[in-house]
Amino acid sequence: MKKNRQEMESELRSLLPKAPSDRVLKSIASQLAPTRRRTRLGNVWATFGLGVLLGSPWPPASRSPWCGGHSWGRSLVRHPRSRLWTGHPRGPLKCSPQRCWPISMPWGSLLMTLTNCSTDTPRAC
Amino acid sequence: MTTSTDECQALLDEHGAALLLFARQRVASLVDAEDALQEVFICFWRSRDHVRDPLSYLYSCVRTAALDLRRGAHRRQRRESLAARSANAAWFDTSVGEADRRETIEHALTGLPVDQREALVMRIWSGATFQQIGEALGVSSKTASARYGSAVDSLCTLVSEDLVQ
Repeated sequence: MKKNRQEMESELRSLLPKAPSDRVLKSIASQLAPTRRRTRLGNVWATFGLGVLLGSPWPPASRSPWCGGHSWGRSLVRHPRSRLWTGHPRGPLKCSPQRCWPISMPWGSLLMTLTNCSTDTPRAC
Repeated sequence: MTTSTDECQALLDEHGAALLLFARQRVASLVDAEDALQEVFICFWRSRDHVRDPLSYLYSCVRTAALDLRRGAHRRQRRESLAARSANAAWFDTSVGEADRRETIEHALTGLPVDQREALVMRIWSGATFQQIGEALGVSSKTASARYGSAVDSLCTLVSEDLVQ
């Protein structure tokens, strides 16, 4: 006797397709797990690390050559006695021991901000 | 849409078997179908934030991956070596239901055009809507519905004939 649609559909539903093998299931699970760590935990740690890096005065601002301290490496400022200061209302200044003057140095300004160099008044000014 | 690992795992648990059966409509070997499934789930996990409907997306990707695998010349040798072992591997869980009945239906299914079988698998074993079937197969929902209807009608006839014989 020929089955109708509903009978055939219910008969088909009673059959269960063969599940993927354990090899495939384990492989998929293992590839998803590290991704989760990278995307969630990794992001948390990366944000925390970046925050610490930007927030900490390392190397100490007073010792950084671009903050007017002692040179601990290659100075970014040409003149060994020159100073940089970004805290002035007229914008970034370059200071010698005697006087300061505005300069156009975007990267220097950024560097000063990142390294926490902006103080109220540079010692040399 | 954002899908977590647990949701992805739930999708695999719920639709993994049906997706594997779907892939097997396009590739001869079980191993190739499993490879396609694995590839698609990893790809889906990476692009999950841009996926609107995971079910139709997964089916669409499995279909593409299965077609790519079938075309891949570098896999031919491996496929042939595994063919003897897996070509006759059953489509359905052999621990459930009558063996004769299962074989009859499986035999009848193989007699259907592949487009109809794909629509049938999505509808019966994943509960997909005709809209989802259409999206996955790249056709309209009306065409998807027609393919499914034809598949069920043909199965009714084929199974009855098989039983008479």
